[in-house]
Amino acid sequence: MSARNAAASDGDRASGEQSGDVLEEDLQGHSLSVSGLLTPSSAAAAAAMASGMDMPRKRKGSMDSQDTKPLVLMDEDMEDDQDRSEGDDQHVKIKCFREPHSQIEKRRRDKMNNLIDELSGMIPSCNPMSRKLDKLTVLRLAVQHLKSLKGTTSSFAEANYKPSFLPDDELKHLVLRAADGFLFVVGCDRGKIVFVSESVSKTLNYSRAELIGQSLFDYIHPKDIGKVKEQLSASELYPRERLIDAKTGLQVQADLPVGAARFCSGARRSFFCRMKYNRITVKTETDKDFPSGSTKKKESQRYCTVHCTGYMRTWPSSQLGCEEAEADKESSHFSCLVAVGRVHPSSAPQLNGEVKVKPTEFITRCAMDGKFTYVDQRATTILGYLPQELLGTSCYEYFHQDDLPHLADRHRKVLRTKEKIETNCYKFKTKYGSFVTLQSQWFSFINPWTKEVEYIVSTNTVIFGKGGASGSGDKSDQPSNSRTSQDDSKKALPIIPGISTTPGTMIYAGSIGTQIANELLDFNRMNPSPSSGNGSPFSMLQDKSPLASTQSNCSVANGEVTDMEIAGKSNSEEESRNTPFGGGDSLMEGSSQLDLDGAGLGSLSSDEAAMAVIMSLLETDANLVGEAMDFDWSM
Amino acid sequence: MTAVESKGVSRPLSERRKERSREAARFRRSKEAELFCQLAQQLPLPESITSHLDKASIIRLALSYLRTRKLFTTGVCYPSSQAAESKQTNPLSLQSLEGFLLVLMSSGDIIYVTENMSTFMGLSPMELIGHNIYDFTHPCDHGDIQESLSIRGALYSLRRDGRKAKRDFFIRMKCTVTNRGRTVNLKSAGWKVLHCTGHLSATYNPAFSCPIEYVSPFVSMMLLCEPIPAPPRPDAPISSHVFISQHSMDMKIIGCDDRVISLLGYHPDDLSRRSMYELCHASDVPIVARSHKILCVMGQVVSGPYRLLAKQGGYVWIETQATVLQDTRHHRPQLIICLNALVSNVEKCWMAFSVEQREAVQMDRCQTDRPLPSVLKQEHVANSQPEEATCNPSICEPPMCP
Repeated sequence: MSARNAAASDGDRASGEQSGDVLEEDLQGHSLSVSGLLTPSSAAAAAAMASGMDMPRKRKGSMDSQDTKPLVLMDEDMEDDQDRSEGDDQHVKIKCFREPHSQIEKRRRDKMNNLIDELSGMIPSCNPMSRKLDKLTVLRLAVQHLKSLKGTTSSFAEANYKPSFLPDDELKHLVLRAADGFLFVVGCDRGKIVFVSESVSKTLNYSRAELIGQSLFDYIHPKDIGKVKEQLSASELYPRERLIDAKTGLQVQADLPVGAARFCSGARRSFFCRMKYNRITVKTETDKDFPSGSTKKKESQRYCTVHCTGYMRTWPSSQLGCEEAEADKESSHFSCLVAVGRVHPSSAPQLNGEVKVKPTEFITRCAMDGKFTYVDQRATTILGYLPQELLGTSCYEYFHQDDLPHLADRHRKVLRTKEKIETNCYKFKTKYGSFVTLQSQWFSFINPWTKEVEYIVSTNTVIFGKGGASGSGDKSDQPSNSRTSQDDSKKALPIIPGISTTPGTMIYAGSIGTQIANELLDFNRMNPSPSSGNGSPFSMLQDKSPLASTQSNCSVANGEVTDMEIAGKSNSEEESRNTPFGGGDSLMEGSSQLDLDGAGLGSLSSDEAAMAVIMSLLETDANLVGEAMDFDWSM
Repeated sequence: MTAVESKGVSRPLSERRKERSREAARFRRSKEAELFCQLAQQLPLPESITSHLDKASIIRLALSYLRTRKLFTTGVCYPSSQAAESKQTNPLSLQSLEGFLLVLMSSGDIIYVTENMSTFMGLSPMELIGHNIYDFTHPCDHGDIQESLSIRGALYSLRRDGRKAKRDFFIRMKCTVTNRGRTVNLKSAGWKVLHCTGHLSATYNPAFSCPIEYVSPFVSMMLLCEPIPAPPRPDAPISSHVFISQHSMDMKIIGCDDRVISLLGYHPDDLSRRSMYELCHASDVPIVARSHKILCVMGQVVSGPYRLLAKQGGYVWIETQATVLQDTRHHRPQLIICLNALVSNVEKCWMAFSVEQREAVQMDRCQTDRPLPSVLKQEHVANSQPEEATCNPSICEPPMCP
């Protein structure tokens, strides 16, 4: 509390000066005040709030009376420092939280000295003198310096000199530079460009002379003309304002006579439109400034999205130049839109999203179970499928048999991590039966609010020249491939909770994803706190059975697993390896067996965990069968 | 006796000394006050303000003025535009913006704020100039500001080609104007979310910099700070290319404006309970998620442009202004209101990207009598344009067979 007082007495107005009024304001139905309500606000914020809250109302009242004395806010700030600290001292006395006056004074002096030091650093004539100047000298030099500045600035000499930190002209440039935009004035009746600032040459690449006097509509995307007309129009194209009720969020129709209000001088406008970009000059620059254009279609290369904000204004015709004289013959007043056009920051994210994406890349989105829910159109050129054809099918149907263990492993991983996960190169069956080698980067999208996985986004890159896209029957490189993939699965296996990823368990490719997704769901069900993932019985299980991951994993299976099952497993393993792609639909009944085997393999020490796994397997199994029944078996 | 006498002599002596020093101090103070007064007069501010400034404020403003000048008058010499025109249009540019300009030093000191700030935030520029931005912003956002102000990484490129490092972030700043337009005391100020865009730049100017700054460049950040209009926005009419949607906090759509029918082809009922994340283009998921995160923390956000899938295939580019509405009684977030402005028309409308789009197309094939939404119809008509012509799936390139 004493720190708070000190801060206030410093005249340092803002630090921690958040009083209970904020809360009060909220209570008054200030529904939009977003005072960090949603945040698990940081300790600092909480502290500020707390300090605000424990202030009794009485004190607040007294502060208010002190502070609201000057009506203009500006003046409020200009109160003498001394006054302020005295005033605060009174409060301090009242509150018995008194800090020694000398302390406060010392802080004030220190602050003043710092300011003087900084000031001396800014004055050229102070610089040559290396020794520290005394306060009075610094002040004197500062006055001199400011006087000299005044003399050199021409704008100060002007008659209608309005004192401000920046001359108007520089302010305008500053505005346009900060906003990265251009100012334009357009007549409302015909869309004639009355004025456009110089900076348009930087943003749209037109010289200013080219544009002035032209119709704005000539420079707007044909499909946006209606939109812009609507914004320029005074007439009642859309007679009713669309308003939203702040409480319910429902839209209400305002019954106000809005027509007049809309067009009156000062009415705000804000809209997007696509404007023509002059490409005639240096090509490279075009690409640099509007990279969105280079990757998008030809047409959009010529247009860039401009966000126009501004307001309506009526000028008496006399103020306008002769050029505009004819425009306002009809009325004595010339209505126009004054707006700043800012090239949409779009270029930036679009650039990141699109430029990075090479033509040999495409993006897909899968549900948790691996079914395509979204396919980028670029997939068509690479895979031959239209998005329509891929959608709704499982990505596992297209993977090469040898890559299934690896990909299933990655699939499991991606569902459990927030990071992006790279797959190894794998083969993906194209529409024409051949395989194309892809490498993917997967990440699971977690809803920021619910913290639940919604789907998996995959960026797929075509890898050329690595093994190539051989036909499915290419036996020669299959052994080596399968070995590597097996190695992968060996490495990865210990991390995976639940069922083993041995290829033998994969009966129907499409169901693998479902199984994995169910695994996750079960996993989450059993471990309500996902953060404790590492401490789950599964990971213990995994740690305990490093041997299980070896080639001879079957042998370590404990007594519950019968030899027959092991044999069946290795058999099917063989079989599935030998069968060409899609031949995995062989042993239907084997699957349940093998899954149990997969469970047994874990050499479970804890019976509970074993039961849990078996239960989950039964569930997935049931699911699997159901799924398999639904699918047509002609792969 | 002697002791007493000496005491008596020494007392007036010390008193005289005290008196003298008091005199000197008074003289010094009056001199100082006079200088402060002169300095205040030299400030480019109206008399009404300068006469009320305290000493600290005078120095604060003088410093900021010098910094402003250093920053902006040493730069490029702007070509002076035609006098008549510039006189008329100079103040216009500021009014056209839906925000104010803020110039910060690397320490976070506010060098300059445009006058129109008071209309948005209630605070006057004089209250802020020379103070630190951290005193006026939400503690939780200080990290973001710090990060934006740091030239780490950006410095190299700044030094090399003088290019500016772009900045785009959100902060919550103290605002003394309530939603109802009431002005409150700074102490009871609420927070307002500002969308800050601009750039960080470093200037090396030996002419004006002091020895310290020969070593380190003068780093400044120029920002355009735009408040995000809250849903009951009386000022600007909502364009016909904007549709309004309501979402639950996880971005599932609760309700939608009828206009979405003509803009995207969806019937509002089609959309209810669907997640916004299902509807957006896969490449844009990170953009949407980032905005959603900010929205959950701050309560308001403006998304960058992203693509939203249209019902019958294809997508549109949209930009969304989102606001969280609070339950006034329980102070809990209730729902999200989005104003979605269409930036483009439906692009690649012949292509189904998502399962839902495919289903919609199939449905459409089944019931051919159902009329196409107007926008899509337009797009089909426009197929004669070169853009759409090449997009015909039948002319698609054969797949790559390396």
